[in-house]
Amino acid sequence: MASDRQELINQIQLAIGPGVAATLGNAAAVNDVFEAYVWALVVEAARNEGATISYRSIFNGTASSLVFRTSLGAIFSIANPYSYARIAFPGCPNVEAHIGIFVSGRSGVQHECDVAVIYQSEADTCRQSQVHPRSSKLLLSVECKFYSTNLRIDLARSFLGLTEEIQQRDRFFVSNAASDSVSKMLTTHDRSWETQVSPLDQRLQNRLRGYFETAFEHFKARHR
Amino acid sequence: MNSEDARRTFEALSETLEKVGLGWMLSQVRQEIAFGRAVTKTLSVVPEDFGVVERQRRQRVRFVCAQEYTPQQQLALLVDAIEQTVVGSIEMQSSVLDTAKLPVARFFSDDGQHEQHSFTHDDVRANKSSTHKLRRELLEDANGF
Repeated sequence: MASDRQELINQIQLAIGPGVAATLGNAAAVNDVFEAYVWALVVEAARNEGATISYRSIFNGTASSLVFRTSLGAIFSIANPYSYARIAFPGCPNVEAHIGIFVSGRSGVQHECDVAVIYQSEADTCRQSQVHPRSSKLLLSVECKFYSTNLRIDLARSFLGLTEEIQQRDRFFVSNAASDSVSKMLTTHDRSWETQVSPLDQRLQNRLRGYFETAFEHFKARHR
Repeated sequence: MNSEDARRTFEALSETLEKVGLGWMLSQVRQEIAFGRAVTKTLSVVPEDFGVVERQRRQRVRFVCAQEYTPQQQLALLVDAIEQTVVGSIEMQSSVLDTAKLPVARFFSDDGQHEQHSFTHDDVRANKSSTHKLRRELLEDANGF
């Protein structure tokens, strides 16, 4: 048993070299990666539904690398050359997929969206006039939670409050972790959610991507 | 694996995680252990129905409570956290770059100009081979808990 234990410890030390430790060295950094991953699932869903995707930088058109925020910010921020995906469906208005932006809710106060898909016309207006997008112009949004252990119930409570402000349709609560009580509470209140989402579980990853595909399918149908 | 082995393995892994800078993950696991596992218990109770004079019937009601994790369950929690955080995150990085077909993802703080962290295709490739080995090892060990 001692040798098995030592073997496991050796493997962990080997797996977590300086490169891994630099990326995963704090909870916030891992959450950033999770948000980017969910954003990529949204982009893939749009592509699967027939959209043309282009990656844009807020400064100079086409993005040559992905640049994201580590904390939430304004869509009009020019602190860094942030990237977003432009999603173009034939015959539909263009939309954009962003990470970590504020939107204004029903009561007029700002709320955080970890992943947000908004109309390009709204995004252009907001960039020009330095205002936050209106939640009514959100096609889809995702609250992302990365946890190494079970989710706590307060996260579900916050999401219920958030969706009172930014509407309920196509607003998703997504986590890599699980919790029976969170799933139960969100289901009882008829909210959209998926837990245990990770590339390590293809079935749940595909199911979530499928939900996003449905949201895009409905978007296309509304504009036919 | 008996309780003593599970306890020793947990402690040895904890030390390693602290050393490699994953103490934050260990804190989340320790917090979960402190909270305990949420379980439901069915109890027989007398309803508080003040208007009724006749003899009250007892009702069976479900209550929620926390149960302590066994050492084996604690170790399983830690191993699962390592798999999710280390192996899962590297796969997520790979997925992001594959989707965008761009060479690097960089993360900046809005209130400062400097880059907080980043990953490239080369980083991901290098990290993937070691995390795959780790995953196999973790899956094998998980069967023994």
